[in-house]
Amino acid sequence: MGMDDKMALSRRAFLTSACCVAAAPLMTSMTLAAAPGDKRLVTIILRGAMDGLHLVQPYEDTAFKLYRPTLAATPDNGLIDLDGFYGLNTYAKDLLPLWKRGELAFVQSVSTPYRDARSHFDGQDVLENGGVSVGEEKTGWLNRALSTIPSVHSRKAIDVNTSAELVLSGDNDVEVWSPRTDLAMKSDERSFFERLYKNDPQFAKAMADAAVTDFSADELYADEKRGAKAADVARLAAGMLMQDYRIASFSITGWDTHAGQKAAFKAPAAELTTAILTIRDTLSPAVWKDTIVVAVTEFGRTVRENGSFGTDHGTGGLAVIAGGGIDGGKVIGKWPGLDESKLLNGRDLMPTGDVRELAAAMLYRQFNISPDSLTGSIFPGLDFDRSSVYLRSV
Amino acid sequence: MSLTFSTMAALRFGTGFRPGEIPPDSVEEMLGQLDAGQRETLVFPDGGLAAGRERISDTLSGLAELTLAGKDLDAVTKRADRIRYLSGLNNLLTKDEHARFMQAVFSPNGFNERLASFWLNQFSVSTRKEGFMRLLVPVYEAEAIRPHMAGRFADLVKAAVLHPAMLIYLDQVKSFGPTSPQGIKRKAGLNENLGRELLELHTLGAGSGYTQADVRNAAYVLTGMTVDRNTYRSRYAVNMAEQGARDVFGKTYGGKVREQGDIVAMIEDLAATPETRSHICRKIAHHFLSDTPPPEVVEAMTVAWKHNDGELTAVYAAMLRHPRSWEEEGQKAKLPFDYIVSGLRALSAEEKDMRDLGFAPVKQARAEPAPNGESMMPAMALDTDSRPLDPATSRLRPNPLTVSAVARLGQPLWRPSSPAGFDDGFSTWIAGGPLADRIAWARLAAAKLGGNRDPRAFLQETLRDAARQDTIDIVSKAPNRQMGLALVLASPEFNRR
Repeated sequence: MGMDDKMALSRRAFLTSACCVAAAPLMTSMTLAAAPGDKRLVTIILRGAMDGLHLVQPYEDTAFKLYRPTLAATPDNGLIDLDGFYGLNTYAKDLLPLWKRGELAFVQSVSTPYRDARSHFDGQDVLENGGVSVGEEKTGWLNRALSTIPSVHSRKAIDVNTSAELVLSGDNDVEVWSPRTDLAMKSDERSFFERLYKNDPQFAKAMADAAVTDFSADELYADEKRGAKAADVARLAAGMLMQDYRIASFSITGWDTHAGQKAAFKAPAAELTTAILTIRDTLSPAVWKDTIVVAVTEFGRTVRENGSFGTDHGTGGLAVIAGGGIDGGKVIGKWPGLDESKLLNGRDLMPTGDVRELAAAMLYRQFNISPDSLTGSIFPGLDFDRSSVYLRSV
Repeated sequence: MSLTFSTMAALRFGTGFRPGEIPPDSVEEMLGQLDAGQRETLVFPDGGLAAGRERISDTLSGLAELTLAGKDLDAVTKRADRIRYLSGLNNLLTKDEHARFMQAVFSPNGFNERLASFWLNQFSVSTRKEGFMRLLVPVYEAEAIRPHMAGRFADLVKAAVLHPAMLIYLDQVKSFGPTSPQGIKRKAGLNENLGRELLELHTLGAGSGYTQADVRNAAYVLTGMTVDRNTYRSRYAVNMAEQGARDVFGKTYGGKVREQGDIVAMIEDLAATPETRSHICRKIAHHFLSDTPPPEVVEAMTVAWKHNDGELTAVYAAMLRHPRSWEEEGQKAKLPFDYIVSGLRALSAEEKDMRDLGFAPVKQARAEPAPNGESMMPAMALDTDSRPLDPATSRLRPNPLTVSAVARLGQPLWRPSSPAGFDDGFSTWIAGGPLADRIAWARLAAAKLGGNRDPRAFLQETLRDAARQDTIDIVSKAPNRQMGLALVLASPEFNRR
């Protein structure tokens, strides 16, 4: 404990001496690193449209195999049975222990309000802006949520990327940091750069952010080599959550499996698995209990496999929830069925839930943001209250 | 205009000052760079375009020999040999990437180079898509993008969209007319990917009013367009094409027989719409001028486009001749590639400073991890005579000032994370983490190439009248030369344009 106090003090001393006004309001939250009672949230954006029907396969729905003659698996050929109806893709099998402990849940057939055009970029825009349509909001919902979190100590967020992503972009300060970024300077050298930027507000702010985040990252990595794979990204995110950050976000790409999906799915599924397990392993057990990881994608993929043994852009998709304190071990979300008449436009899984409601529920649960804020500034026009299915079932 | 013409031309529209190189002093000189650029002998792909094409045919014959030599081997060994051979392509790509930096750094035609990068980003493809793309993407930039960027926009779209690199990247090679002879035979169907991006990214623009039906019909019209895998050239395969008339954005293509002319007509029509005009003109202005470009400049550009049948030189001229294009300097942030290129130019980098670092045993020098966690193909080396070495032993190490730096700074060469290309907005690049990465680059570049330059003189010749007084003051107070040079390269003025 004495060590922790000392560290908090030296960090404070560092901030007041070498850093600048922009970082000052954050200082008070620094000592909270020792307060594991605070809730954390990690969002993972699965870019490229993850095929939820391939990660969590409804193998008991007899139509499934007919739509996907080469892609559909069964517990007889590698699929891992979850509940007698759904099975987990073999490339995510390392998640099974989490599932068994109730620390993992899936939400099948969710989507944003984005419909019919099926563009990655627009789909991701809606997913991240939190509105109903493309470009409706110019900032990200997770950024807007920051200003409505009642506890000021929980407002610190980090975007673990080489550049900022929309979901965390906006008026509220968010650190952007990749695992390999390192300011690596003595404080006298650093002060030259701070003076270089002091009359350019945009650069001054970027430098201030860099100084604060660099300090935390240095503590996390010490002299270890820094990589940039999912494990490194997840480790940096979780390491920051062990310190004074409460929200972290990053992306996993590679889900746009238009062709040869069986093989193409392996790498991103393994990355997602590694990311979730790394977060759990990096957090202390107590903090893992207070953490929720939500992985969401811009839309699902076509129910039918296409002519090149892949799937095309669809609508209803899958969300993944993990955390030490959730009531998991189940697939929630109403299964719409695969009957031709039940498909959206005769091709896509019919969404039975709004991914924004899921996100709102997690924000409510973790940070006690009021439903008014959630349905107002954060997700304009969203239907959400305390009776949400996503609050009751996980 | 608060800065001199030549400073604005070099910083905003060019690749920065290089000592000894005279920057353009008029709009005419800038436009003259387009012609000069067309006459330049490109230094990439490594050894020139013909060499790049030759490597494709060499690799194809190498593969054929491998098949012949392996005819008695079992399927697993054959496949493994093939993968080893193809993974050697990583080293060839690394060579091309270094050559691409040299092209941008050494060319005196900065405006032309900037346009090449802009159009490459507008018509994005990625070397990550499949093995052969490592050879094909450099060739794509050299033969599809650069020769057409001073011509008609419609010709540029046709060259880019119908190039084998794009047909592979956006899965057109996997799209079959469902009732075409090949579609029936292979039980293969339509793939919408290229049809969608053609409308959304390449021409009309998102939210311009096209529908999902337009996307699908565009994909139908595109069926038949594919790649000859024996030459890696585009070809039209009528037995892959879906017959029948299709409506795309209000026009009908094809009748009983589908033909390649339908595709050309569709692209011509899409390129000629007002939606495309304003989408593309705005993107150009957004890239060069501001994240919120002056509407009057965009308007002047669209008018020039309309009066000149989409001749891009007229569109650039309209932008360059508009007084508002020369106001309010420094609103944009240099993209990482341009940041590095302008830094190397300022430091008078020579070829020896920008070469790859030679082969290294794989185990001691792991491949630079790709961003977003994508894994590299297994590394394998081809030596300078292009004889395959054992993939387990060596790979070409990238130069930390160029090829690996640009990935680290967030803009890996020839591999954007999506068909939309790299983001071009200020706040994406000037933020804590990205700025820390730029500072790290500035310090490395100053240490490696700074020599015994005087930081004050370096600031003067690098930024001229764009240098602000407070930057001049801090640079002159730097504790040592190296720090002074790094401060210049890290300064706001050097990062802005």
